[in-house]
Amino acid sequence: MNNDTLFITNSLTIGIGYFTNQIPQFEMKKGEFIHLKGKNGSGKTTFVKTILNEIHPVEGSIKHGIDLNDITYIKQESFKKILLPINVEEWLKIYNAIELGKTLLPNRILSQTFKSLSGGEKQKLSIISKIQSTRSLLILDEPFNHIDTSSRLEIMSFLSSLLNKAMLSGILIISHHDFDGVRVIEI
Amino acid sequence: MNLELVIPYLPVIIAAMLVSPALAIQGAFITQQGQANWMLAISQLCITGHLLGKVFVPQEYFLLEFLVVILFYWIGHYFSKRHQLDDIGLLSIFISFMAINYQLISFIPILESHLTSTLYGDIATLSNQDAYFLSVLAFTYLVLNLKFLSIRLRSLIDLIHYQVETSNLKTVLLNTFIHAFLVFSLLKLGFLFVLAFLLLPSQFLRNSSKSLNSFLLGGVIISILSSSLGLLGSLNWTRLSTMPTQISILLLLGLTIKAYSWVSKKIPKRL
Repeated sequence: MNNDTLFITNSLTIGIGYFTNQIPQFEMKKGEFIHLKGKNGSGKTTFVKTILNEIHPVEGSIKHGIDLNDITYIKQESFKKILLPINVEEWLKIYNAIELGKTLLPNRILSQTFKSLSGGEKQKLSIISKIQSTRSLLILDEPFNHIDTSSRLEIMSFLSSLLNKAMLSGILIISHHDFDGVRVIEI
Repeated sequence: MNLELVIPYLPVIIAAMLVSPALAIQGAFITQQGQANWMLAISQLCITGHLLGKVFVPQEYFLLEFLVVILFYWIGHYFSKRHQLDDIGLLSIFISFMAINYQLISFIPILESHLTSTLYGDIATLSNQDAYFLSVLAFTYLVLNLKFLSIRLRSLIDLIHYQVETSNLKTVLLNTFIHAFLVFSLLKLGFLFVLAFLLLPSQFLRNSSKSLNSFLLGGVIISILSSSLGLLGSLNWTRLSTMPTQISILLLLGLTIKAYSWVSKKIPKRL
């Protein structure tokens, strides 16, 4: 394993209950942007949970070149579960990310509640909250559900810019959409 | 209002003014975690524990009796977490244990007054000792929240949004204290009072507030007003029952805020 390896799979079979799936051998390196693709039920989220060590592999292993605490996983469809009327400025303060937030987010949304933000703005806020201190590996689970094409492209370019500025060590995105210029791993 | 009538109730009035905002703040966390039905189920389990404690533990061992209730609380907490019970599962527990509690009364009729007080408790009948103890618990809760609100919120959002359970000794101790506070409030103030002050402020304010601060502050203000005015009102007009009056004022204040918020959203569009 090299110094710039984030994680590497080794004859990995993932599974939960009666479901199992073999994952192709691959290595994710620092600075990489990977798109994890697969049919419904192919185990994309199970694979991510295996990376996070929440689920043990059925066979084989994953070797991490990054501390597990430096992996940020943004859950699928978790936005609608935020019920408190927390506004953007308060959210950023909780995560000590007020300065970065003010730089990367438009001023007009700072006083808005999380619930009133667009899907794209919610994604950006969630990402910014987790990148201020550690150069983490960011894992996004279906971040573009219910998000229009222009916002999707905007978030993709936002993510690329964070990666180019080395504010993140890598991005692994689970999505059924197609993207240009991103390495695709199919499971 | 006759002040001479109020002075003996000062410890109770202080308790009402401290416990109700503490419950309103905790209610915000319960609402965010979607734990309203969990709270219903746990409450009935605690009442079962309380009734069984009354039967099997001699009266002088109050602490042991309290531990029986805590034990039932933890059994419910552990069982619901382990089996990831959904709303139907939790409501099934609520109904089952409510029936068990009534069944206990048919076997041991002396428990009826205990069941009534844990269901429809009345803060005005609280002993001074219980009022002081509840005040200390509630005051501690409020101080701890001032100090750790940010940490609590972060760990809550992390859990919902980022799938990270940020649990450390501090949060474990804080949660244990909160559980004890809730159980003691439930036993002394009753199911209806505790559930009302946990859930109603959040329900009325969460869609009317523009920030978390205004939401929490609003909850604190309407809960203090309703608990203290309801208590004073029932002391002055003896025909009024304390707890229903407190909840009625809470409803009235909540509905007024809802109406104001609705009107203020509509008016600019018409102009």
